[in-house]
Amino acid sequence: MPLDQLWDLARRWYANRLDDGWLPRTPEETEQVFVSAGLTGAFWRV
Amino acid sequence: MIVAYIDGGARGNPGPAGFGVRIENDGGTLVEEISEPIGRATNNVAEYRGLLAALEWAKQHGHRKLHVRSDSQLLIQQMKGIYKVRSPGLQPLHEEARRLIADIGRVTFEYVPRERNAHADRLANMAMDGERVGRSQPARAGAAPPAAAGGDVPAGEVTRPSFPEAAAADPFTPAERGVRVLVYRHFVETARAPDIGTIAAALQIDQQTVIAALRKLVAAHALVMAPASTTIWMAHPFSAVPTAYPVAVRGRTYWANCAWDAAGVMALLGGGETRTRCPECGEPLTIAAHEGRISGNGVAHFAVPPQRFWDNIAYT
Repeated sequence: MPLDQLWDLARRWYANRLDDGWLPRTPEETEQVFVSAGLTGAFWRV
Repeated sequence: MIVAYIDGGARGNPGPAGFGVRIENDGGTLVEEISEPIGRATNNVAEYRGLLAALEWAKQHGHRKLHVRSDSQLLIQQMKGIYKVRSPGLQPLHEEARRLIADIGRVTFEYVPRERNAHADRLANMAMDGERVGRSQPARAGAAPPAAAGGDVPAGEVTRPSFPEAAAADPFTPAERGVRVLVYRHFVETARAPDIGTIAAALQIDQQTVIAALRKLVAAHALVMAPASTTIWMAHPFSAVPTAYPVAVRGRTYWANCAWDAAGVMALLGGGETRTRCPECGEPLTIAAHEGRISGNGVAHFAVPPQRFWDNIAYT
């Protein structure tokens, strides 16, 4: 994975981790993060 | 053919949510716009509620064909049958959509990038701000489903069954949320994990309550403790123990669990630099983030698919 994509993924993945209202993601929400970061292959299915 | 542009969203996930629908005819002329707040829900629930509104509109107006455009890859792929619908909160919405599609006849789906879905995005944002446009009757949780009223429900009198995820239960108690935030704040401020006594003192709760909260957070994959102990090991992206991914930020060294987490530490702390070595060839690698941009050499390699991350969280 190129660094720009890694950076995009990390920023989306950890966006609200420090917030009081953080909740674990559902499988759908996890897939949505991957899709948003351009990770649409079978490897990234949850 | 009638085209429905749909979008849904939540301020926070979950949070105050709503959806927008824009109906156009063949030539792209506006037919109707709908904007509807739905209370506290997740993004995906809001996306599905937008889809249901579009399908209900098409059914009520006697259309036998509909083309749906959305910028949610997840919704489109699930409606095409490419992704499974695993979330219990989405399954009833998906099934309701399937029933409406069977009633309508032919419904096709297309993913469009967000910039081609600007009208629905605008309507969804209005809905998230509490503004209602179009259907005059608010959808009420617990009301009779449309099918019960027969096939000729007038526009503006749509009701909808309640769906469990619309209420999006928070799985954590206030104590568990407090412990989680304290652990993260301690990592951010000191680059190390707090011990049980530190957490108990900071939150003014007893140590047993802290341990119970930590166990719940571990079960929810919110934290990782070292095996057979009450020592915090990881609060992703932070590691309490030295790793191959030290991240230097403003004179302090944080430990990240992997390259992804090194980027995560830099994302959370607003920048930084990690110096590591390629796990394959041993070549030195530097990755740095500054003012929202990343630079460095190399690529990141993922050895294990996300579905199996938690089989062995120390090896992903």
